[in-house]
Formats: sequence, structure tokens, C-alpha cells
Amino acid sequence: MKNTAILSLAFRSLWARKVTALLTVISIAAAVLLFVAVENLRQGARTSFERTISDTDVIVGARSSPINLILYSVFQIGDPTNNVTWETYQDIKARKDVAWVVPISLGDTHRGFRVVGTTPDYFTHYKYADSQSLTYQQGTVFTDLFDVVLGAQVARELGYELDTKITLSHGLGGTSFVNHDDLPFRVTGILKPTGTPVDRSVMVSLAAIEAIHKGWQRGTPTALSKLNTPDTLRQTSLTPDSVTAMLVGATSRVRSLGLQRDLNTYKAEPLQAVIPGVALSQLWNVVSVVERALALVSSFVIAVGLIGILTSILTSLNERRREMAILRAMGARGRHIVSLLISEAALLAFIGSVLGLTILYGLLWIFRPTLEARFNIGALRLWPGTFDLGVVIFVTVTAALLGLIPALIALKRSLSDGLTIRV
Amino acid sequence: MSTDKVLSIAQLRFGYTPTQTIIDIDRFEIAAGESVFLKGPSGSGKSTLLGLIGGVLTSQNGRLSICGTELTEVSSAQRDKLRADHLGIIFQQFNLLPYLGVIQNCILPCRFSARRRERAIKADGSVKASAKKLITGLGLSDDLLERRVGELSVGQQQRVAVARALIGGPDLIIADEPTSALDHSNRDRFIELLNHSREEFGSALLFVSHDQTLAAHFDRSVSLSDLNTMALA
Repeated sequence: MKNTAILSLAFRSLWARKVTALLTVISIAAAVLLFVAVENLRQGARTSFERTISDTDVIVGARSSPINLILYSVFQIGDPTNNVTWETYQDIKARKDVAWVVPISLGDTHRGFRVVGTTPDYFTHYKYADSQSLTYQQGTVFTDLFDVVLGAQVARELGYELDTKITLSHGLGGTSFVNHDDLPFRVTGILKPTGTPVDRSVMVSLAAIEAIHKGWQRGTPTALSKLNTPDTLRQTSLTPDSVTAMLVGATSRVRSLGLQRDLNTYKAEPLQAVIPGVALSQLWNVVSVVERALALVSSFVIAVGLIGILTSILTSLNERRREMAILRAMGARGRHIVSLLISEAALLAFIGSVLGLTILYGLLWIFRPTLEARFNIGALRLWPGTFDLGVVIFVTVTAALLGLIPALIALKRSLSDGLTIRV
Repeated sequence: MSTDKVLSIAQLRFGYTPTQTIIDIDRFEIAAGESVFLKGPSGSGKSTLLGLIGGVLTSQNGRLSICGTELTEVSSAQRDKLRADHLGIIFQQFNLLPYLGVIQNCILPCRFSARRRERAIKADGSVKASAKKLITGLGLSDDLLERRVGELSVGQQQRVAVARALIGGPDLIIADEPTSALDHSNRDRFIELLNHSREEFGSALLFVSHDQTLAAHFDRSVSLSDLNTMALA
């Protein structure tokens, strides 16, 4: 008897028990869907994580930990420990091995979105993914003191357009009690979505950060500062005393290690210099604990699904003694009985895992715009790849191996039953 | 050993454990084309004997040959092949696989035996044509062929089982109480049909039943209780 004939027998036999078979298929489909979805999200998160910053050789801030520095300077998570003086900024900028420096000044927010004080150089030197530059969907870079450029998500969530007037709040908390209400900003540019934290940033000039805090003492406005108007401030010299962090480009990539070492042993003040790639992979090691836990849980779900196949076939064996006796009487050999049951297990697993993948990629395809916009996961795989093929093969082969258990039981029984039908 | 014997048993002994003996038959033969009634009450070792003839069980002692091939001397795969090639088996009831159609059930032996497949094709052009011819020859109408097995009456199912046992012309038909689920009038008709059809193929018949009144339909009648010295009284 040909193998395809056994497969067709297995299929017909399963079809006769379609309710049980369908439930088993669904449990495998759900397990595979979960497993592949977790894996896909994991890869997507990792990729978008690694795509966050590129072409920056060294990030410099006040002495803290490398992970802390990269979290607050690039990912907008956590608070900066201290600032770096303007003199240090000038000093680094003057170094021979430094091609460019983009200062970043943090400390203010707009309705929960962080404000990044920087220079127009930010928009030319900040790169993400594979050296992609920031581009505008509308408008252009800030030119006036009270101009602001918005990240894509900020503009979309708050419904801002060009020329919308906005005010900034002091402090990095979500709700602030100190607002810069008297000094409104005008939106001059809205960036295209990047899938990086830039989408959630509000960018102004360094001078603007200086201007809205002019005359403040110990982080609060004074009677004097309240006299400031946009026009008086435009006349004032607004060179800051300090910046929060700097993105530094070396003249050549090979210089970045030496540059990092020099800055970490900087004499005038304690600095922290990190190479983004190194810090990112350190950070990923921390995150990957969660990632591994997720992968473990979802692989257990697959194991449960496979045991479900085994259970459903084992419980069906009793009511199928007659089927086996008939097949034996018609000349079926032991290996036919064994391959019939193995084929059943493999068929259930194969149909289930293909169904699971179909549903998953169907959903991804439908919800792709939402996913990309909401969660900044722009790197999801939208088509099944070799990984998914591997999952299908693994699940099917494992099910076939598990199918050996009921197969051998049925074979043993069919031998002891002989040619007599026991109903 | 002459090949005109489809079944030949000599000094056959069998037990499921080494210390036990359930079957002890000195001599039992069926000639080609012969029909034999075997009276087998429960406890006479009927199921075990059928298992041995079918090659699902193997005896430790004695000789048992099907169409000249000694079953004790060949591998279990070869015994399976021998069963597929030479035996047509009809059970008491529930003969058919519920998930296959009438035709698919009927051609099942041809899936497992190349010999019977070739013979069916040689006789009627194709396996399916052979099945159709057999089924209609047994008095079942054409429209039954499209039905689900479960929609057939017990009598109709038994006739499909006969067609299946006969397809590809096996040398020996073994019918194990095939009429026990049928009523009186159907019973005699069924046996006549079975006898008539298998005569066309020249197949021998071993008809096992506990109902002695049926013995008249067959060439000869044997009681398993007499044959098997280990049968329970």
C-alpha cells in the first residue's frame, strides 16, 4: 500500500471524528500562533531597538552608568543624573578626532512628551536604522527662538499641525505644576515616523531651553523671570551653562575607542562616554531575561498542544479497535497500522500549525498599520519565513514521534485481538 | 503438500502462554472451491483458530499452510501479505469502515494486495468496476453506491462485506458468523448469495457458525469441538 493511500485513510478517519480533530487542530493552531507571535514580536522589538541610533560613535554625559546614559539620552527613559558644562562641550567639539557634536538638553516636557533642546545639527547627524536621516512630513527645522519641531507620534496623538501654538512644562514628570505658559512655541516642522523615540520627542533649540528658564533660581521662576517676554529674550544672549548629553561623531570609526577612553578619563569633570552599539547590547542583555521567559512560556504552550494530540488519539483508540481489526483482516500489515496513527498525529499537527500561521500572518497583515504606529514596531515580519517553516516541521515531526505511542499500543492490541472484532 | 488444498492443518498446537494449550488440531483441510461449515460454539477456540489461519497469530507447533505456503515458516509481514492475497474475511457485523464510502470499503483488499488488484483489473477493467459489478451482482441497487455506509441496513452492509471478501478472487473466504445479525428469511438468502458468488470465482469457503441448522447449505460440516481436542466441553 502506498504511503499516500495511508495518508488519505488517516485523513478520512480523522474527518469522521471531525469535532475532536478540529478541537485538537485549534489547540495546536493557538499554540503555534502564540509561539510564533512572541518570537516575531521579540525579533521585531530587538530589531527596532537596534535600529534606534546609528552613525553616532560616542554618547557623552555626566558620570553614571552606560545603560543609564543611553536610556535617558536616546530612549527617553529615566532621568539624567547631572549635566555637562558648556566648556566641556566646547572642548570636545574642538578635538581633532571629533567630526561633530550634537548637544542635548533635557528637563522639560509637553503633555508627557519629552522636550529635547538641541541644535539644528541634530537633524543632520541623528541617524537611525541603516544610516537613515530624519525627514520632515511637513515644515522645516526651527529658525526662530520660539520654533518647535515635533516627532510624528506627538503630532498625531495631539492633533497638531504647522503653526499650532504650544507651551512647554518644566520637569520630566507626566504632570507638571510649573508651566512656561507665558512663552508659547510655534510648530514649524513635523518629522516623518521613524519607529524610534524621536517620534515621541519635541525638539527646540538650546537657546529656547535657556530662554524659558532665564532668570530662574533652583528650578523655579522668580519675580524677575516673569518679566521676560519673547521680544526681550530674543535680544538676550542665551548661551547655556550646561547640556545634558552629547552625541559625538568621530572623524573615523577607528578613533571612537580612543575617544571614549579619553572622555572617560576627562580631567576637568567626571564624564561617561559610551559606544551606542556596546551599550545597546548590554541593555538588551537585561531585557532579554523577559524575552527568554516569554519564549519559554510559549514553548510550553506548544508542548501542551502536542500532548493534546497524543491524548485525543489515545482516547480514540478504544472506539477504533474495530477499525484496526477490519484493516488487519483486509491485509493491512503492522506497519500500516503504525503509519496510519503516526500520519494522523502528523496531519493534526501540520494542519494545526499551518492554520495557526495563517491566522497570525492574516492578523498581522490586517493590523499592521496600527501595530507600527502604536508600538513603534516597524520591523515585524509580515510573511512567513524559514523560522516559521522550521516551527511547522518541528511540530509535525514531534507529533509524529509522539504518535508512535498510540501506534505501538494499537499494533499490540491488533495482534492480540487477532481477526476478531471486539466492539 | 498438494496445492489444491487452500488450507491445510496438521498437528497444530497453540497457546497464548507456553504452559497453555487452546488449540490442538490433528488434521483439517479445505480443498480448492470447497465449502465447509465449521460449527464453533463459544469456548471452542474459534477466534484463536481464525487468528492462526489469518496469520495474525503464530503457532509454536505443527503445520498450517495457506495455498501451499507454510505460515510457521514465513515472517509476519509475509503472513500479512498471504492474508491479503489469498483470504477474504467477513465478520459477524460492522464489517465496513464508517468513514469510507461503499465502493472505497469494497476495494480495500485491493489496496493491500497487488495480486487481488491485478486480478480485479484483469476481470473488469478497473478495481472500481469490479466492485460495482460485485455489489450489483449481490442484489444491491446502484444508488446504494453513493450512500454513506451508516445509511445501509445490516443486511446490505453484510452483502457489501461479501463483495469486499470476493474482490480480486481470493482462494478462501472466511465468514465468521456473518448471519447472526440477520433475521431468518434474510439469513438463507444471504448464504445462497454468498455461495453462488464465491462459486463463480472458484473460492473455497469456511463458514463458521454456532447454528447447526445452516449446515445443509455447505459441502460438508465439521464441528470444532470434535476437531480441537482442547475445546471446552
